[in-house]
Amino acid sequence: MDLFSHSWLPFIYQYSFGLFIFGGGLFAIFKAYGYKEFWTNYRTWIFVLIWGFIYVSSIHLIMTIAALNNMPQLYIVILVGYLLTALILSRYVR
Amino acid sequence: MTPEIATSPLFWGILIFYVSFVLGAGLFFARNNQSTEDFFFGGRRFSWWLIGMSMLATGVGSHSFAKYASKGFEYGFSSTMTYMNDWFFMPLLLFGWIPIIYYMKVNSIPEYFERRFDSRVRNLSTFTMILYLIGYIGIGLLALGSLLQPILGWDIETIIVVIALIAGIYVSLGGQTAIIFTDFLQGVVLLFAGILIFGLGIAYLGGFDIFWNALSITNKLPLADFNSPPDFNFVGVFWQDGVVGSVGFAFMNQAVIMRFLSSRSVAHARRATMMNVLVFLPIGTVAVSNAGWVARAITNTAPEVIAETTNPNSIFTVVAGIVASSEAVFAFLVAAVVAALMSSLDSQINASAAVVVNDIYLPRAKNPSEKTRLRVAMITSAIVTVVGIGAAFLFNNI
Repeated sequence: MDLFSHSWLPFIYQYSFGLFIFGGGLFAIFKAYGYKEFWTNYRTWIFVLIWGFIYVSSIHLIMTIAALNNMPQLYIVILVGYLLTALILSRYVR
Repeated sequence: MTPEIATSPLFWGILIFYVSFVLGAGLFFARNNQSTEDFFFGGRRFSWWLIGMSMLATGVGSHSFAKYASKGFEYGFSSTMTYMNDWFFMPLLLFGWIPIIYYMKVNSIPEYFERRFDSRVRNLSTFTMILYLIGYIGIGLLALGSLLQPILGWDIETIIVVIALIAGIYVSLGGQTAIIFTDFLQGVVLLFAGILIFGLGIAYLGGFDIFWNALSITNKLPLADFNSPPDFNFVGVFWQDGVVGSVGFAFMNQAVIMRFLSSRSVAHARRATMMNVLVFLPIGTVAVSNAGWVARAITNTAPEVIAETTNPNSIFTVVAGIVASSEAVFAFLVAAVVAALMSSLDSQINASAAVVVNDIYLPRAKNPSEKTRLRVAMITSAIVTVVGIGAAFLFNNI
């Protein structure tokens, strides 16, 4: 069974358009705040924004690989990533 | 198919205790309201964790348990798509929209539109916002009524009236403070119940391996098929929900905007939003969907327990009835669905009242005292509740 239209095609579509929207938003706020000021004042938040994108896309990536290759153990990676993200964001992002 | 556990005094006792506790907690906070600033924004003093959890509880309505469990039963893990595509707009939301509305000190979306454009845009926005919020209240009430009707044995309209009156009373008296504190409690309850039903479902099936192997590959893929079927395909969900829905809900929903404005500072509003999207929503999507996944696994392995022809819209209550190990657990799961509805309903009632008071009453009133404004806000909340009940009746009869 050809699963491309059910697995990688929607993934590529979502994160291509997603990157366009996300990148456009990031560019707009850099322009609005001023590149240097935004980088200086909100460095942690810039990392959080980029990490959020990687984190959400990684969840979909891992779930897709787990389904296609029958590897439920990969959900442990998602769980560990989730717990670390929750811990770090709640404690260190102000 | 109806749940196998019949309702008894224990079931009713747990349900009544839960609802009374929420009502009592809501009324307890009524004493804090001295002004409309308190009533609509809780004095703008809340920390990120309270705001974040209440945002989750506002987003997860009782229709979520019906809708996403149904999609989970029909299509598998792709039922999670809706909750997992909100991050793309975060740069604009966290560093564009939130600071704009917070520092402009607007009280409503229509008020923003007047400052940005003119009063005609404000009036149009007021009309559409009220229409949207009343519709949202009506649909939420109807969804809860449909979900609980087979369990409680009451008619749908009685359920709608009882639940709406409970929420209406504590919102009309307690305002935003009551909403945020009760939403925090209800958010915890609905997340815990959602995870509990997953655990019970896995145990019922005999372990995670059996659950995993009972699902087909397509059931386990996180995104729907690209362009089919017409009612649930990837492209449709991405544009309708991931793009339009996300922007509409996060940027233009008065109830969500009021959460941002109730925060202690812009930094707290940002943290709340970040935690909601990256931490609370991923559990939320599992909580509302997993009954459908468990049902699919049961159907694939034991179709005599849950038939393929079972109505997907009632799948949550069907699974809860099958996997709940005791009546107390079943009652708790039902209470979680009630919690999901009340935590959305209260926010929408308060938001509707805020729009009516801020954008219809105040521009036309002749400098009313703060006491009068507060009284009008409370009365408006009560009226909105009644109109919401009317909307639910109307939808039920269409």
